Amino acid sequence: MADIIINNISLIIFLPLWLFLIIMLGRFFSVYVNKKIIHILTLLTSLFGSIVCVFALLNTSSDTVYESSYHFIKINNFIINYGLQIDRISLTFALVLFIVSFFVQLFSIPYMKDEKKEYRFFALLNLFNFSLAGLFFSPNLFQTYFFWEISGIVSYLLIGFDYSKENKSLASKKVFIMNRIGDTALIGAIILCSYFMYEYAPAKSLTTLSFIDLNSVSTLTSVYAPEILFKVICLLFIVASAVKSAQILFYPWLQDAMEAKLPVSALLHSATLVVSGLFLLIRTLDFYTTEEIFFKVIAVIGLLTALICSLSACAQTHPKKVLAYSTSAQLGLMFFAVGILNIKAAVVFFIAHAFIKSMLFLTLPKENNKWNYTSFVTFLVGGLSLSGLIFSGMIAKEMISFGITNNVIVLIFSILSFLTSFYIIRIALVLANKCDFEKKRPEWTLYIPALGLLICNIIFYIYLRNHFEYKIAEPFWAALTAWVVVYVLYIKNAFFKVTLIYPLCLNGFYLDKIYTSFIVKAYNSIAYFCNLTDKNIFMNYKQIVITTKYTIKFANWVENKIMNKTVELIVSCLKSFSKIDLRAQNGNVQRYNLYAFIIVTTLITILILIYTAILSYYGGN
Amino acid sequence: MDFLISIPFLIFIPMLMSFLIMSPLFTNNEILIRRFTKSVCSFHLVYTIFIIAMFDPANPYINTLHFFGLDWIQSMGVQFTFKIDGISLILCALTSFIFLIASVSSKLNIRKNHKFYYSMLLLLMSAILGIFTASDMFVFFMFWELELIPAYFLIGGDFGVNGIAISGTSNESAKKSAVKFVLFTFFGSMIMLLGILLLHYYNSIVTQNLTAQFDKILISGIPNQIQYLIAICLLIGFGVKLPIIPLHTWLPDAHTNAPTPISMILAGILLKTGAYGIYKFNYQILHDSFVHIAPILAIFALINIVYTAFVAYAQTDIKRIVAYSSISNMGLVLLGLCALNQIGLNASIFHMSAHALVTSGLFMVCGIVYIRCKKRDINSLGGIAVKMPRLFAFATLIVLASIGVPIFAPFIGEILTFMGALFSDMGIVLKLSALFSLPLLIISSCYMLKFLHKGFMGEAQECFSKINDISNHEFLVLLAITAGLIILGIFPSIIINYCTG
Repeated sequence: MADIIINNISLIIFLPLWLFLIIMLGRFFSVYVNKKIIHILTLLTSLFGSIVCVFALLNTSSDTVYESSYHFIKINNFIINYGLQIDRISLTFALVLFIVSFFVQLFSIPYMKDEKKEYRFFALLNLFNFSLAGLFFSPNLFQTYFFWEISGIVSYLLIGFDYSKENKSLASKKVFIMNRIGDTALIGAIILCSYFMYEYAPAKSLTTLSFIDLNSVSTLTSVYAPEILFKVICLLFIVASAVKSAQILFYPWLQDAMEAKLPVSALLHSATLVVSGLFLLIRTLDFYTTEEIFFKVIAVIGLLTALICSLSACAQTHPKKVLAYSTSAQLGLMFFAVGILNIKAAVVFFIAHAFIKSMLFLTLPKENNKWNYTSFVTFLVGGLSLSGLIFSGMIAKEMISFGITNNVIVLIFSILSFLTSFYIIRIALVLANKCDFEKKRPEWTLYIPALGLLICNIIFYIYLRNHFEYKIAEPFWAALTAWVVVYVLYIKNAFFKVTLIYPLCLNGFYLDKIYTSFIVKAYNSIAYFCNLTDKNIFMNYKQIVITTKYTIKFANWVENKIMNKTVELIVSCLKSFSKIDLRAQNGNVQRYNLYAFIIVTTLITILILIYTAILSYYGGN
Repeated sequence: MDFLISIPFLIFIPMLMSFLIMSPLFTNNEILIRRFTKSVCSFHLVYTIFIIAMFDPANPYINTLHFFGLDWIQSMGVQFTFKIDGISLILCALTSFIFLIASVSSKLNIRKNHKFYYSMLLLLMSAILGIFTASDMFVFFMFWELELIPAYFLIGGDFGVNGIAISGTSNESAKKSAVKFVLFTFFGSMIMLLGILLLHYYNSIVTQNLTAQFDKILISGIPNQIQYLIAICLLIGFGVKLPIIPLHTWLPDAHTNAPTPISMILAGILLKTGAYGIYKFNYQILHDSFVHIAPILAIFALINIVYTAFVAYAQTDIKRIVAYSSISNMGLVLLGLCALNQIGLNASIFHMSAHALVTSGLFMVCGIVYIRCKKRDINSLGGIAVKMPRLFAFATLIVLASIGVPIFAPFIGEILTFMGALFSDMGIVLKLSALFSLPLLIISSCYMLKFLHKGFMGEAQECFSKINDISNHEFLVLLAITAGLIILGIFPSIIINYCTG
């Protein structure tokens, strides 16, 4: 059984890659590939992926770690392998990935119909599936980093899909560089971690940094190892996760990522890519076990992000921006759940959030402000679910706040629930006001995906109801109040703007502006400073030239005044040579160089001659 | 089979062919000359790969013994000998590959003096191969100096390159930078020669044996101060080529003003001879002193890596950006060597090969843009991606490779370098420089993305409305480079297995 599962998991990782290669190479070498075949193959791979994941989830009782015999890198005892780690967490994440992918791809078929570069879009969606599936099943940190980077690249390429549009290409660049900070943190953590394990592990061997070793070694070695190193590694892991999940200080990149096309935002920047940070956090969690402070750090990061981003979301008028802030905020809640060691709640919340958020994106009105009633109603249902009033959203939210007794946190939770409901219904009403409703039924492929995600949401809800206990607590009532409050305000047509905090929220707490005006400027000035020093100190070729010139002039002077005087004496004896042309004086730099060249060569020759003489002298001894 | 693997064949074939092209009997037809050069290079590449296939990295001793001993300067014990180990074999294969793609890409770039150009190209190839295979210090030095002659003419010569691009200007600046290159390198090699002579002299005193063979030199009896003196002399010589930071100023000029294929060769192979020299002399022979010099050198490497990356960001000429990025990358190679362990050495050799591919690809892209748009200023470019989607695809791939994205080769090189420096036993300096050079990943992505976004993306400009996409031979070159990058990135053990020095 295990073999079948391993083989099939390998297949579902690599099938999207083959598909990507087929599409791209086919286009590149101008081989005709039918559009419909591309669509059907893409959909089938996603479907196959989700079926395999469900099958594996039902059939695995224990965790499987598979190491292939192929050494990626092998230097002495430093070996990196390709492998798979199949357990409930990786299967769950991959399942959600494939389900959401399937519906988003289905949605993209009519959405991208008129696009000229449709094939590239589908190829990239496939590459994305490959990268994320590979990330979720990787058994060691190196493989994780490998796929982590590829997913970042795919995100970059998809945001800058219309590279001829200035704002999109700029946004993609910004997103990439911001994510690069997290990548650097991750690679720093990885190399420090391997150093740590090499230096302080009992066996003193270079391991492949598999997650299993990581868990066992960290408990064994933290006694001997210097505290600071261990803490730095933990911190770098947290930073890497926080960047990818658009947490505090790093959430602006998600706003820029909204320049991408609607299906991309639905898939990457709300449901799947951003949770890879959460995934890394869960995978490396056992590493922190001895350092409880870091759990608190994670929880605080999560709560702060949730608060800031929820507040910011309340002031936005662009629906994608609201949803982006909301994604950061919900991911903050997941971080909080991990921080209080309620992993199960974090994963459940992730699943519910993925279904809800991608559904919300898929039901947004089109760019020309045309909406239809089916999408509107689905959007409202999704909003209700996101604010924790119905379906899986409700249970997931209650699961996070289930065991909490601290009153402050309960209060914060209630506020968060209130804010969530507030911004989601507010944007729904704003959109309803702004858009024209179409009477005729839209194309079925445009609303079926959202309905499919809704059905997944409901199925998940039924599953949760049967397997987990929950109770309806304060956050639920807070959310309900928000719906009522907003509705009343809307009836009275009084959208209040809290004057003090409103601009703060509208600009996302000015974090982005601080970055562009401060950090980018500092970076630029460092670069120009370096360039200036390079130009004026190192590249100051003139000084060298002048010094050389004077040296040559000196040599010339010696030649003219001393050597030539001697020569002239002879010459004057032989009067026929009296009109000698002193070519060396004509001021031609090229010629001066030539002279220097000749002098130096002569010197070398003399040096070698002297040296040979010395040698022969000693050789005689 | 043994007689086939003879090194003179490996080194002197290009030189003979160069003389053949030079001879008045040879045809004047441009196409025939280029075809001839290409076939020589590709024959050489196949031949090198054939040797690699015969080479057994597990048992290098037997394979290193193929040399022909010929007394050259008997009074100094200098013998005309060559040897091959895994590392030099890898570098030889790389050399013939880069020369092959450079000669293919010469088609559009060279408009004049074909005979001279191609014969100099082959002479340069021969000189570089000689550096990588010499097993005698003086033979090494001879090839080191021989390399200057063709390099000087190739950088500064008049091949009609600038004539196509900016009409009315002569190649005055190219000539200037060629002179600068020669003066700098000559200055370095003078000091290097002093080092070699000192080494030879003291070795002959200690061992009572007149020899200049690399593996017969005994360093143990030489006084420490002299060892340091020799090491520093040699380092200055190699530091000019590598280049180490205060000695780097010839590089941006030479790379920018040379014709595109020559820039590819300069950045791809010529810089690697410096690193190879450090490996051969300082790392292997003067090992005792290198242990103490390595931490200081690591700081230089760190400055190379971070400082030039910042400088690259401030450049506006696309070729200069690439030139500075290659200085930054050579810093990584140096850092790998300074680590003085197996991982570091492997990293260094691997990154040399990876960087050779990347940088020649980037110069190729720059050259294609330059020929089409007649501009190299990054602010006036932009919007050409729409016109040249194929070039843009390759440019994106190569740029992504150069910032160290997985599945491309430089990623492995960078990671292994950091690992090697961190695992090094050379003290805290190495570890810290590994950590401080990590931000390179961010800085390099800044300048490379600037290159890509400002240079290619954006709205289409009217002045570029008539440019064509890449032609077939350019396509082939870029395809070969990209394929090489991906293959090395996915199967790094191809190179790593051979670096057992």
